[in-house]
Amino acid sequence: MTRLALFALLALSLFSGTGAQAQSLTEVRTQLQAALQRSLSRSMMDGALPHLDLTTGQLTKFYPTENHEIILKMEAVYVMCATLLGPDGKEVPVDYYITQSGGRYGVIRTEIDNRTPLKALMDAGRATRLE
Amino acid sequence: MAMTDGAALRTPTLGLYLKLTAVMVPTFLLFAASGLLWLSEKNLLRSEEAMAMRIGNATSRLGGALERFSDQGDGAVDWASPYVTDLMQTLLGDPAIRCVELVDPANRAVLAVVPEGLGCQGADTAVSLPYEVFSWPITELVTRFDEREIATVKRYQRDFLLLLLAGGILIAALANWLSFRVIVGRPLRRLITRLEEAREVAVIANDAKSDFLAKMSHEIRTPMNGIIGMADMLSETDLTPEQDSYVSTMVRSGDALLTIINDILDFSKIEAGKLTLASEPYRLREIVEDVTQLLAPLAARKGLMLYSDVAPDLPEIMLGDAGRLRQILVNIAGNAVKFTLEGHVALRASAGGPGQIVIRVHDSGVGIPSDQQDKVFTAFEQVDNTATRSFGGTGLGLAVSRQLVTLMGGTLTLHSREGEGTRFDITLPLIPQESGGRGLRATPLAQPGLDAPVIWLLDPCADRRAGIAAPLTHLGARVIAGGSVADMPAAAKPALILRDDRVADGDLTEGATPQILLSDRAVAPSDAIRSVLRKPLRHALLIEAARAALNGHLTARPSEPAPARRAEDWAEGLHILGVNDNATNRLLLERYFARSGAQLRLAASGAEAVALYGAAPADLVLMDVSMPGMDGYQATGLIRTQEAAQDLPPAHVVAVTANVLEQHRQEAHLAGMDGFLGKPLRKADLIAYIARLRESGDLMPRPAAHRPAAE
Repeated sequence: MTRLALFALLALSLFSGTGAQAQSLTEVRTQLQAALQRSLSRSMMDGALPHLDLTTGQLTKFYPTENHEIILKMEAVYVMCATLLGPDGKEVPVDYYITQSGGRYGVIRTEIDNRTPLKALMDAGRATRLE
Repeated sequence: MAMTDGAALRTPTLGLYLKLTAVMVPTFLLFAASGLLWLSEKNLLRSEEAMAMRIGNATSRLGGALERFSDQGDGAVDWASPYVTDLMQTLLGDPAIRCVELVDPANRAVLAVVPEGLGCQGADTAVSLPYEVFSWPITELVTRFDEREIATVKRYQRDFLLLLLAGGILIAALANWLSFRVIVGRPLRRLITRLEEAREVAVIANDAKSDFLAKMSHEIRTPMNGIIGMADMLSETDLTPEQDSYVSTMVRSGDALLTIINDILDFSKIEAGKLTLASEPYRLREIVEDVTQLLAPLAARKGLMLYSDVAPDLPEIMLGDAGRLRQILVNIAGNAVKFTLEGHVALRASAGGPGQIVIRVHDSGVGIPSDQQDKVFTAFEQVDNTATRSFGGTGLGLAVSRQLVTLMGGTLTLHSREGEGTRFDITLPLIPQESGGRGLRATPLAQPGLDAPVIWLLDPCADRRAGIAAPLTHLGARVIAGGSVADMPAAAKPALILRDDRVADGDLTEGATPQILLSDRAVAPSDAIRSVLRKPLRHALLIEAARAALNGHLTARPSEPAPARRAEDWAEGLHILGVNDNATNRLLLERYFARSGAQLRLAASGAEAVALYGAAPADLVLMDVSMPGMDGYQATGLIRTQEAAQDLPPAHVVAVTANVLEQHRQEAHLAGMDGFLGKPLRKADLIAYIARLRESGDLMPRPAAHRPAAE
């Protein structure tokens, strides 16, 4: 009997659509992607993203190569990632922290080549995939 | 070895497999579907995210291009410019995007739209992505897209999932079946085959053991017949006291050995499941009292008080296996007498729970330590080695008794405390014979219309007093019981006094009240003591003596019963043919019948017996069953044929055999035999058997015409 109920539950979840919530998430995702792209475009100088290392004082130009489609959510803050290519050909990650204000999304923090805080948030279970 | 047929050995693999599948397939389905669903959801999520990224990026890049286009002019942008629509057209390359609008945020007027001509017609349900374009003036780019590709992905994944599941189940079921046949089925079948073979071997070995025991029992009983019979005969001759002591020891040892053989044989029969119980009417009171009488001499030698009583409300006649019940009681009560050094042993039967009787055997012996009570009912176990050394025995008696009680549908339990005695409770189903009625059946002691007669019962043993008083009270007497004369109320004048011989008579002998003395030994009656009853009491005798005394018919009665018959001439006038292949046993028969008044002829084989009978018929044939050549069954068959051919009255043929199983009785009956006597054949048993036959009229001397010519 229990097996039958579990099976029915499984079948129900298998064939049921994701509905209005999925559509809403899609909307959010596209807006976030657009916001990220806008931020990236505006931050670029000569097609590169300049980055100042505050510990060494070194200014490095990174070139965007690939945006990641995965979006993380941390209460009201969304996190999106991309891969940048350094002058030495080394790939580094960049994490964008985005939030919403007045119906618009905007980048509030950018972490280039510093994945540590995001990993800590993910390990703590605070940053989870938007789904 | 006999093989079991193939069908019985075939492993029910399909049944086992189906049961296993009934559990395994849903479990597999649950786990596989859960895993596939999880994968599908993740894949769908990636598709949604990829689409969002694609549309978001494209929209943002178009917005940036429009902003740069706006920056190139000095004033307001001409949004109707084909450059603008060309830029917007680039988004339509994405299959998800239905249309793109450029809107004035102030009044929501559409400044430009692609695809041109169609616009966003029919895209009402599409998802909108608004993007603020920082142009001059500020405009809003709205990209409308639908999720058809997501729906397609969903549909594809669902089909893929179902296909995968169905294929997985099919493949798993087939793989399971094959692996089950190979991995489980074959070893299981081999294991079952081996178990069946081992079982067959064990059954054959057990049968062989039972046969061996039965044969051994038979072989032992045959010489035992000679030993015990000759010892019996020897005891009847003139012996010195020393010789008499030796002979008595021989007889007792023979009896003990016979008990051991019987126990072993019973145990073997029960283990082999060959023991069947009879269902015949019996009187429980008689059985209990018989057992008490049987054990009385041993109890008297040890100075033990032995008594019994059966509650008067129990049915007088019940159904069951009287012989086996007697065996159980002799075992348990015999042990009680054997292991009790002083005090008493009592057998008391009463009603138990609904439809049950309980027979309690209680003694005041040393008791059994609690940690050894479990061993009591284990075969070949006694409580300790000391007991074995002191009292002998195989330790089988109680094991056999418990198994017999269980076969009867009852229970045998033990209650004991060290130093305080032991009590065995035999609980049996109460099966009254329908015609027997309920309760003790005897004429009431009270005369119609008169007061209940007062009976003083003087016995120092309170437990026994209760047992004696119960049937008298049941029959209407008013019994006043006490341990001494001083306990009796002076006001209640007795009509009868029952006095145990350990109670001082005081001035009772001076009164005119009749007295019945209850004594362990022979006591001559006197004027005061008009009757003496030997303990342990038989209630029937007690009631009759009490009735006679109350009715004034009491006459002086000796305490010893008169000899029933003369020791000689107990088979007077009978023509007997004794058949036995053992010379000692033939000699024994000759001695048994020496002064019986019978004419005895002896045959050493079945063939000789047939020849002797053909020459002259006999009234009684004592036929040994197991003989070389023609056995007793065949010889009996031929004797019966002769009788039919010559129109002779049939002789009473008794099987004399050590084979005492029920099947042997049936075989003897089928062979035409009339009776059954077990070995060793005791003279007393023979005398009693012939007496019973003569009393019932089943055994009469033949008419002169049919007598042997030698007479």
